[in-house]
Amino acid sequence: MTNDAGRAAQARGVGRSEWERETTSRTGAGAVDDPYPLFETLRKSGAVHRGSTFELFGLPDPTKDVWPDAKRFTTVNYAVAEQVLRDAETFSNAGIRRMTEYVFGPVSLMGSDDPYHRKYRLLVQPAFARKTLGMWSKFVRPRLDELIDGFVGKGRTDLYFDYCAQFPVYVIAMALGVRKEDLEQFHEWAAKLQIAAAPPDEARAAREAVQSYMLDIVNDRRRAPIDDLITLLVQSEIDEGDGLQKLSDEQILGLISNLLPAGAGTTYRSLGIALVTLLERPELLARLYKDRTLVPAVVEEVLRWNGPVLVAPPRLATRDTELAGIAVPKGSIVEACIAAANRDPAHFENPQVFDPFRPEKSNLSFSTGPHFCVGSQVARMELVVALNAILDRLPDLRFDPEKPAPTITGLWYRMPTGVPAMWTA
Amino acid sequence: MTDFRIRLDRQRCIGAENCARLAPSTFDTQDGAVILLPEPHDAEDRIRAAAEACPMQAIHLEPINRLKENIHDK
Repeated sequence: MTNDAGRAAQARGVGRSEWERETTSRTGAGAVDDPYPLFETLRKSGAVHRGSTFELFGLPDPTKDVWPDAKRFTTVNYAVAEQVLRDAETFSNAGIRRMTEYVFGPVSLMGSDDPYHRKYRLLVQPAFARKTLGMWSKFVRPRLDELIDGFVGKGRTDLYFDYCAQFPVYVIAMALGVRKEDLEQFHEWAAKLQIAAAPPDEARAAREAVQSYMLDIVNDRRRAPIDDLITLLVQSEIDEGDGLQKLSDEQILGLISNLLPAGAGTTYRSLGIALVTLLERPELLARLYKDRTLVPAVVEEVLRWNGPVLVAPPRLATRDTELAGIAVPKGSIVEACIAAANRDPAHFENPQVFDPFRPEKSNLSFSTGPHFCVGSQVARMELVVALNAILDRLPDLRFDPEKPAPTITGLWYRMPTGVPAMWTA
Repeated sequence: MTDFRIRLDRQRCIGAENCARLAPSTFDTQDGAVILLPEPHDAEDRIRAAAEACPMQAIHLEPINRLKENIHDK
């Protein structure tokens, strides 16, 4: 589908699933369904391999033009991925800055390094803290119930497009103070801001539109504070020993445009993967209906076993170094492969098995080091609430036998092709 | 009684709150960085999981030499 057709379909309000397919096909969906066997093979001959993730799969790399002369490396075990992500001085996020600056502008958590990054992050962290979760969660269950009300009587629907994809952007928008009548527009901007999903000019225009829309709200909150997230950000301050720091408008707007790609698709793709994984395991799903205390462990295991982000944003080597005995020259681009790390047998027993009852052990789904996902608490809350809402309201959930069985697909981003489901209405 | 002492590096902490999620009776955050709560704390395996999950390695569990401590106490 062309982008014009995509826009037309969007305008008719019918094309959200086509839009999702269109934007995600650029990031490896459909090209690679199961990347894990290749990681198993590669890991046997070394923890670090020459080439980007795309190149390891024999695919043209969509970021080749960003760093045309850089040597590329990808890690495939846990220890080295962790080493790269923790050592942000050697493996700088200037790597991703060059990729995202045109679209997201100069102010970005993901595209900056310490000490600037640390101060910026500490200033925005209160918006995602456990004590602040209520400012997000109060919009979650009502939205989920509203969505379920819309299809529960039909007895069947595609839960990926009609449920999963319909709530995280909405929750972010409501938490940011977006007006109800502007939600559709906001949703379209958000879709275009998925990293590398829309053509750069369209994505940049979407970012500028979001920022200009949100600037009005930021100004309102500076004038008249209320009990909400933007007010919290406007009032946030820290002193790291060099005087009191506050967020500028530019930093708040930068955070907001980063929030949409970081916090929307990742969450609903995880939920879609979780649902497919459960529908493929009817006994576990039956057990979950009866014992909801298992839901958080199921969420953790889905994130480890088949998480939504296959590879961490590319890092730039700031000096000549080595990784697992492989020389990595200054200027190289290194991709820490989260998915390969999360199935490393040196770190997890029987890593290929989906087992929510395995002993608790941290994984790299939310990355690690100074760029650890700022919204992990919000994401976990959303996933747990969204699974519980389904268990509460859709009894006897199963695949719709009239639809083709879905697959989980994608290279940079992992997602299901759909969640065609039915229940006892 | 645990055989380790918890040392927190608040200068490294980024307030990710993995620790407070995994061991909520032991860790919390204040002004954006980790703090130690008064005892009773979580079970030892919860505290170890919290330390392991810290993205900044800001939670250190230091073994206590009980014999030596007792001598020092006297």
